[in-house]
Amino acid sequence: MKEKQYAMVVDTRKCIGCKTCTIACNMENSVLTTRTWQTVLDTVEGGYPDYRRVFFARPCMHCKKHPCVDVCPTGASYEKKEWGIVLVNQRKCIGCRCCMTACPYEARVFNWEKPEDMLTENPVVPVRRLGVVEKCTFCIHKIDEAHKKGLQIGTTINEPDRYKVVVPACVIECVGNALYFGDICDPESQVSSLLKKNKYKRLAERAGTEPNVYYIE
Amino acid sequence: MYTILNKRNYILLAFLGILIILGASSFLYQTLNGMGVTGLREPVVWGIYVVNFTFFMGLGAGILMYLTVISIQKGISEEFKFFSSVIAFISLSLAGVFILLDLGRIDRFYYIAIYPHPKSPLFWDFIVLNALLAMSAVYSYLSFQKIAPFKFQLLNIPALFIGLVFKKANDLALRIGSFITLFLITALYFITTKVFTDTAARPEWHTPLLGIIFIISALLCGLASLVILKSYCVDTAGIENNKPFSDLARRLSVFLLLLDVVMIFLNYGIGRRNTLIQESQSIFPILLLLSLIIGNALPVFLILVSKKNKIILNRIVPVLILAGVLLKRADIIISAYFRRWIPLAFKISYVPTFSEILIVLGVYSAAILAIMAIFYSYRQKLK
Repeated sequence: MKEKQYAMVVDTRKCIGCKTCTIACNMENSVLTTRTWQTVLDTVEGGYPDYRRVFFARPCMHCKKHPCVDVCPTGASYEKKEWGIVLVNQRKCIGCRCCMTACPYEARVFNWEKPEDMLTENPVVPVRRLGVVEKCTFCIHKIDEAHKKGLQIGTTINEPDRYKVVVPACVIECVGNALYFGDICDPESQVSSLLKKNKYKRLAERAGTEPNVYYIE
Repeated sequence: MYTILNKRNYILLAFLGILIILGASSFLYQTLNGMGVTGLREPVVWGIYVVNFTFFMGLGAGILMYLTVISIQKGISEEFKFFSSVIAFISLSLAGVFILLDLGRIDRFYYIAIYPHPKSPLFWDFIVLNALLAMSAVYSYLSFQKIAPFKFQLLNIPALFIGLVFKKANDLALRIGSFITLFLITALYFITTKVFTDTAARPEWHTPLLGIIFIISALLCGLASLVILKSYCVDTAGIENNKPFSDLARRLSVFLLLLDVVMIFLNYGIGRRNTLIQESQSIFPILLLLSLIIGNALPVFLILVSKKNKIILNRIVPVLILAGVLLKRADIIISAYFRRWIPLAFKISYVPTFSEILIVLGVYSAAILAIMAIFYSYRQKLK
């Protein structure tokens, strides 16, 4: 039974493509400088002469129908059911990379080399070892701790200040305030409110994975 | 054991030995430094190892499927059955070795057995591979026991028991056993392909024909290998020729080669429509066309034209068939080498590293050495 469904909303109108979210993620999660869990992609929309360059962050989509979890031969990729977050158990991963092949968003990265080259190492998030797959966790360590301490997770209509609640590192550091995080099942959450008011889309919807990252157009 | 070896074969043995040592060293280098020593990087995460895995899996399964039929045929020598099952076993072992080489954490490979996850294609590959290895081991054991019973009597007891059961049932049990084996191989193949076709991110796999194409490829590889093996056995080991098998092989080859072409075109029409536009800008259709010419059209032409030329029928045609199947599997590697010269080549840029190639050559050398050892032991026994 799902208690919550954490989701992320990316307001593409506000994203300036500065990649601060990428750096914040790498530092928070001890990700190598050669890897990214939170990639910023850019595309061009519209037609001549009204072109618009659009930037958008692409973390793991934490899909409801997760092909990466299905294809994992050891169950190392799993969903934390009560929060709807897809994770990788590093102790069970055999490095077969089936999940990377199955992911339509190319959101997973593999540790090809020894973990030596990183900006900082966060002691709370140990560096993953050689030969395993890793990916965005929605900063699960922060959410986990907040749950234990009874802190508010994600912004709400009553508390829209991201600095006063617990949100992933990319959300808190976003320069343009383009990222929002919260429980999509909660009608009071800012993510629910934004999705009600705005037109949005999800990436590669045809794949039928029901991703939990939404893009406001 | 190797007293019949001549100078030329000693040079070959030394060459294979060097390649095995180089391969083992490269494997050690890969294990210590991680998969970063390979040419693999996102988005291409499967390369030369998985190509070899799929090829040898098909080859082993194909030979085994024929073995189920051959085992109940009268007039086919036990030696031929034994060598066929050994080749199937070695081929499947190679498939197993290559999939292990591809794992980032080879030390954890047994997790597939202790944390099984039936929705995973790799789990089903693991099941199929082990089932086929066990079947080929049983066939090897039974045929070896018939041509040269084990000196240690206890090892002969299971075969004697099986033989007793089969005789009492007038070979019916053997036929039923063979039928069950054939059914199991086919069923396992289809389960694996069903799991593959469910993968959301790979629309090119979303086709009901994938299983049939894999089975046809396996049957073609198996048949080609058996034809080469039989001609080699006749030439060197003195095993008697079996004409009905040759005639059947010719007819079956033509049928399978044409069926393969039909299925591939149907597959492009039905399942791969989504990726057709993307692929039309790549080198893949050119490679597919090339593989169809080399592996399908040319063999059919040669079979129909030169009905009596043994070298063409027993050596050239099977090698072309195997090359065609390998070309279809290895398109991702070949395209990387040719992309510089082809303006519309696919943007994927996987090129196997020297280390990867050395490992592959080392594994091939070990397999060749194993086959040579078995053949020469048999020739020694004949003397």
